Amino acid sequence: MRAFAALLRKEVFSLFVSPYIYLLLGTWFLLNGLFFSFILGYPAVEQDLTLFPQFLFGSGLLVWLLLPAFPPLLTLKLFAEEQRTGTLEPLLSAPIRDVAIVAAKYCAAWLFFFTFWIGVLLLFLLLEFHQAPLDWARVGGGFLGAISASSLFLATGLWASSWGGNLILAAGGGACINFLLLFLPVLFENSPGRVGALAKSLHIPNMLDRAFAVGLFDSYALLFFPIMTLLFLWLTWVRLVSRRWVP
Amino acid sequence: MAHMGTPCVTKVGTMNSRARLSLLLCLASFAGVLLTGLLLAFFAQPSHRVRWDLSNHSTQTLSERTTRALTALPAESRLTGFFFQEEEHLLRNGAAVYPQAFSRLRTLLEDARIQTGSNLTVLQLDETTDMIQVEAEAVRLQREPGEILFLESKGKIQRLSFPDLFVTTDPTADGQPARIRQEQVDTSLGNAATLLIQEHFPHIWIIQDPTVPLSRDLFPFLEGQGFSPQTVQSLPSHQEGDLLLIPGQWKPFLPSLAAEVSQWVADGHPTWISLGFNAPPGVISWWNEVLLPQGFAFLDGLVCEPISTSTGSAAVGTPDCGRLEIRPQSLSAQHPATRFLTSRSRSYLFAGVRPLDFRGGSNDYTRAPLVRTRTNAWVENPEHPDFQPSGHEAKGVQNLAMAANRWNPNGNAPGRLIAIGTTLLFQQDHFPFSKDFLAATFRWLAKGKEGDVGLVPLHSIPFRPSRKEKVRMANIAILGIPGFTFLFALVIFFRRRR
Repeated sequence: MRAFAALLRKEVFSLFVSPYIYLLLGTWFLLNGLFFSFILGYPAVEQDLTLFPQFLFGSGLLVWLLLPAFPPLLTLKLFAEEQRTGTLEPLLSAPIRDVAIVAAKYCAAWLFFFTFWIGVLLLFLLLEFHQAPLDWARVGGGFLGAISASSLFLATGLWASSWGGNLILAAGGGACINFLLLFLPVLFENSPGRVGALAKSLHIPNMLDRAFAVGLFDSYALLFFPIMTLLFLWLTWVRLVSRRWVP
Repeated sequence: MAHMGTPCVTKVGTMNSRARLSLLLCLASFAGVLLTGLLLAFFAQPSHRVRWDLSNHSTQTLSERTTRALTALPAESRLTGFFFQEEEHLLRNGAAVYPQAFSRLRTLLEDARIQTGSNLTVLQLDETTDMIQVEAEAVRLQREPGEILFLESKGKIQRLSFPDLFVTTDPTADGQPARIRQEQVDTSLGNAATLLIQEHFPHIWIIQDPTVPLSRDLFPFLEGQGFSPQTVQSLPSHQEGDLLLIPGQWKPFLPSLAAEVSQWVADGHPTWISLGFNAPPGVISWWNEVLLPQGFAFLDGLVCEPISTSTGSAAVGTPDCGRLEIRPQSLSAQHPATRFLTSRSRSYLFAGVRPLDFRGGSNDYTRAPLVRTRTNAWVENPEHPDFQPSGHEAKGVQNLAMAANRWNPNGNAPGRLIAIGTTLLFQQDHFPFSKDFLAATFRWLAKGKEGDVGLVPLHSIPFRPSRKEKVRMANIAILGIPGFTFLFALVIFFRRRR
């Protein structure tokens, strides 16, 4: 546990002192600010502000473009950079369990990505400051859904980062998996039979748009993201420890 | 040989290691995926799923009644939604009608899909769907423009068009957009499902006076509520849950029918009796005798209220004083039959009403007024009408509808009865405005769970900041927060260089 805490501190520190990460954060805030201003000027939202969380968290570009693309950019350095610079082997041979390494790197990325969402929360506080009558259950639901989805996408990014020392492969692979997770269910949701049913049960935008962002908390959606996150963390761990399985 | 053999051994060894590694990787990954799939399949089952609606007005899930009706549909039933913005007047002046409506429909259809499990296939078609599929579905269902939802089961189809689901206002010439005032998606969907599965539903035996014309929409409405209405001349053998409805009476029953009705009420079977202000005295006195144990009676006279005018003054002296605008606050907020209606922001129209009041009654029954007037009401003497409160007329709050329930500490006792002092609720002009009142009260009579029925107000929150506020918010969102972050990145960059 002490090793985990030390590694977590180190990873968080390395993220928080990286100018590259702040450039990423600034870009995220800029794009979200643009979407925010655009959606706020949308006539339907002017008529009914309750639609705002759905437009931002449910069906907007935040979900379809930023959410899948940014987490892998944050996680790409976590394993791929270590492999590229040759510091992964010493880390793996250090007296710390592999699961703690994966958990520490994931938690560091998650903690830092939380600051990404704090910036978006500031936009809602800005609305509140201007006396906008917000339905906070919907806003809170939207945030919970978006944070859950970003937790999953960070895990896929971490897995992609563990593939090798190529940073482009790590970022591109992670983003690719995230876009597949988003788009594949959409492509097959109207298919007949089990394919359609499976696509509907894996449909992330629907979970965000028709549950979280309307203030509706569904036990399945609440469990879906942690379970999928654990799957990708498991795959990362498997990739990491597989080096030791063969003499 | 040695130098030839060594590479060969190394090569074979490397391949074996890689094969083993790959196999182990695949097995471990497959185990993870399999376990994840099993867990998700388990938690996706409707019986293992819980939904908490924390939105402001808690209307993002279907009512128990609608869910039950949809779940009762046979397997391979289909619910198809066409989400296309087709009516031009609902788009004018930047109206939010379609985004609001489709947001509601998508959420509720998703709820229907989740709650009904594999019984019901839910298909949502919109601009993002393959247009060939949309066209094929439209042709198959013979869809007309404006039709939104199609519920199919065993070859039978129920169609719901936009006005069936939403009540909207039109855009105005001065630039006001169309708005959704109320919606009835849940009720309409529940009615459609009920009509499709209808086989053995409680009967409503209607003793109809030929001189009291009923709305032609009454029977389809009652069928949609899950009843089987039937006009009768004498009471047939009945089953648990059957209701008796007397939507007005102009002449006394024949002795045999009177005995049957009297026995029906005495036995505690659910009864709805409706007598207007001009019902004959003989009929009134007969009913008051029958209703003695329940503890209330029909009184004489016509209930009137001053008419509110646009100038704020209250007009009296015209027969229109007998048309009562019943506001939600005038309905009982305690009684289960009307509790849900009090939260609605809509009024009801009761016209030609005879007052009711408590009278006698046995301890076997609890009784409560369901609908009351305002304090400025009075009871007009119909024989000398001047439509003004006169000295000898009763004034103040009047009871317009009352309910009795046989007392039983264990609950589930038969003996529910509703008496109401007007017959116009069932007639053509007034019926459309009484539907949700009738639905709620009939379901209470039938001992169903009183759920959310009928029209539900859709709460919009307009937010129109001034131009200056918009610019300030945009500046902070686009320049302020990102600019500060970029600046911070620069500071860190230069500090790290040093």
